[in-house]
Amino acid sequence: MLEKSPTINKSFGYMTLERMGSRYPSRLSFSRSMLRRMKQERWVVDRVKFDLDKVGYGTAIYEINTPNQIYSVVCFSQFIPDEERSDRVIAEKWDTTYAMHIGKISAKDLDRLKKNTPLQEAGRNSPSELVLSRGNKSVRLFKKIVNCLSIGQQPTIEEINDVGYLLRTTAVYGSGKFGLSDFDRTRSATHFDQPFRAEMLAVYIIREFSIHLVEHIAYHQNPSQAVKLDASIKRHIGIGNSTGLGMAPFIIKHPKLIHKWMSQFDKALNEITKIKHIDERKFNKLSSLLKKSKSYLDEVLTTSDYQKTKNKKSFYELDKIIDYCKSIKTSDLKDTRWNDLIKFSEANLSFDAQEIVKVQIIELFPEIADPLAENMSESDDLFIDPSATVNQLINIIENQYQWSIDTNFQDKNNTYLFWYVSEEKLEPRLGERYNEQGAELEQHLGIGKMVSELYHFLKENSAETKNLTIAKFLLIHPEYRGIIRRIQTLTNYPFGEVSDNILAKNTLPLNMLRFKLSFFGASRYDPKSDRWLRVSFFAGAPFYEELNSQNVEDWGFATMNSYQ
Amino acid sequence: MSFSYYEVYTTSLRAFSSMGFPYGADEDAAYIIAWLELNKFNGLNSLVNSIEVVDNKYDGKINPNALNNSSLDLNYSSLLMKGTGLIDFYQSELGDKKDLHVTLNNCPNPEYLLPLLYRSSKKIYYSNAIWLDTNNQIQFCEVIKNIMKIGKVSNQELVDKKQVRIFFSHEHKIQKKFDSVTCTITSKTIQDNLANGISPNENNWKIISKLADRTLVPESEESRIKGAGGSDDAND
Repeated sequence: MLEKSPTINKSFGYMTLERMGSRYPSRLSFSRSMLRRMKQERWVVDRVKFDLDKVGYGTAIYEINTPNQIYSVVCFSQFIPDEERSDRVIAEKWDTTYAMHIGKISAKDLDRLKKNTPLQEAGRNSPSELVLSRGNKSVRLFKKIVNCLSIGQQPTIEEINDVGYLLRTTAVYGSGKFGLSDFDRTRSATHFDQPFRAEMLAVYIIREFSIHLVEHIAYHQNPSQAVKLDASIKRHIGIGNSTGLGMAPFIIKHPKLIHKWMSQFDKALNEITKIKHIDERKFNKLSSLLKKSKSYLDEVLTTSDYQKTKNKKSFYELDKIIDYCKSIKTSDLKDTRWNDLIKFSEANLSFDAQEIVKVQIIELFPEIADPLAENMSESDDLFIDPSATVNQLINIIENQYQWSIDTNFQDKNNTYLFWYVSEEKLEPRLGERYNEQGAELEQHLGIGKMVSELYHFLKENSAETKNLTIAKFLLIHPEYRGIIRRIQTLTNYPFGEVSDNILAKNTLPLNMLRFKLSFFGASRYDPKSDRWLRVSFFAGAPFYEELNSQNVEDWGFATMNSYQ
Repeated sequence: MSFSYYEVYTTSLRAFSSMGFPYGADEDAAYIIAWLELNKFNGLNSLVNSIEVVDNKYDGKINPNALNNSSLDLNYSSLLMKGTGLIDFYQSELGDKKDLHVTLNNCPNPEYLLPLLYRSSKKIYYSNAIWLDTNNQIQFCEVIKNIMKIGKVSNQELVDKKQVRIFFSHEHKIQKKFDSVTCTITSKTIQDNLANGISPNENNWKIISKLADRTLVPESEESRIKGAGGSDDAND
């Protein structure tokens, strides 16, 4: 299914699926901003418990000391048979499981978490827990590194690059799931006032644990010869993540939040385009960042032909912007704007390559981007404007949802898919409406179809109805309440809506997944089907013991040469 | 057992969806129940007791002509279905007027108004409501700027059984004096309740969860293999 090329309407700006699926992490990404905050506020990480047996099964606890609060990440490691290891939500056992707790963990809390955390969705958490997660071993890399270290050897960085991580998380839950602290509470009562910041910290600590785990097992395998991972290659190890369809409904259900993320990115670029000349030092740095991006694309491995094609295309297209930069004489920089580079990219490069150019330009301006990255939160509340008229609503639809009006929903190809939640561990899934059971239970995610139905209904109504206030119209037609509230609210949130029909047969859900993952800061996209993919977090990032003001900035698009 | 607000809201949302509430109406009804449960008004218990009148009987329609004077006969129809539409309507009717008096007759579960009035305080400066509780005590609530007080009043105008009188205003006028305030809801009390988690009645939770489960698509081999994308090479 990946090889199908989705028919995408390119005329509706940034929020088409194709563009969403072309995004890359930036300074505004949550992993980056979390690590900056960690450095700025001098958080201290202490491994206060490491009670694992010789083969690595047991409990570890890491305490993160922030200026006002201690947080604890508790890690449980256990044996599972290979046949029970699965990346999917429907799995019931994992090599490792984690909880992040507010404060130090008491013996009573540890006992409670020991009983519940390994059960994941089937267990219970308290409002004192912020994150629940689990991770499985990358069987081939984990064993390989244990064996190397145990005989006093280092793996090659190429071997690390082949996989990219030792442990792969398969879910990172927060924000009220399974009894965890609600985000409203987390935002006001903890350090984690930005979306997914607590989750990013937990993932960062899990990466740390993965190194400690592999070194611990190697040592006990051969105490006399075992060595620790060399710092020059260790940083290339990220923490893996498998991500499935759950991210797509999130994007539809949190339109104001999505708008916020996009608008902050857009503001960063807009501020940069106002700068009237290009600074030579920054210009030279951009050239090196673009070359680094090329190296990253060259090195990153994926089994997906779809992703290989994208990466390869971007790899070659980056030469165009590199050559364009070379053509600009140093003496002409004072008459050149960053916007000239962006415009060149938009005119000459694919969306993927354009995004690389944009994120690398943003990379040069921490004074612009970093404050924006500290303001990525937004309320989910949607509101009816009861005094507006039906006519005004029609105008909004015509101005903002032309893509929906233009879609023929009588064509079965445009209503081919339905999004649903399976009774099997509530796994989010996608079905084929005309071939599978369950379409009557689909989630309300087909925004384009709902808007289209509302629009045509309104247009067919009398002038008298069109002059009604929305409040009166909804008294008569409460069935349109949800979609009208959404349309009215999003009038002021133009990035909030995916401008494509996600029920269409040619929809590629991966695009939505990659969009969200880019804001998280994920790299090394490795699609495994059209519906799920593997990525890495913190690949190239410094570990907490080596974190400093220089390396906290430099780890994006990490390559095998980044550590020399 | 402790649950988060998110869990109570999403489980209620799926329950309402399963009972035939359309998109939007399900969200509003779930908000009503979750807000009541969070603020210790036993929202889930109210919902359990309302299932019979709302399950597959959704009717959120209100004839606008019935609203031409200041009273409306709800005819025992649940505010879970009609409440949000009414509040929106009254908000637009308030418009440029200084204030608005409304009477709802034959209104079951007047407590369902509390979350709606609390939420509308983002747009309406002041509102209050008065009704008789099941013990024929006069209950009074007022909301101003995200602060809600609920308590008892006496020696006031008569309120009939199953009647709710609501007052909306752009100004804060002293309407009635509380004999006693039994509950104050602020952003701080809400934060405190979130910090403690929600502990619903176990039986109620089971009933609502069972309703919510009606929205789940039954398992099948095809769904398991295709629905989430397949290609599971978990031991690589």
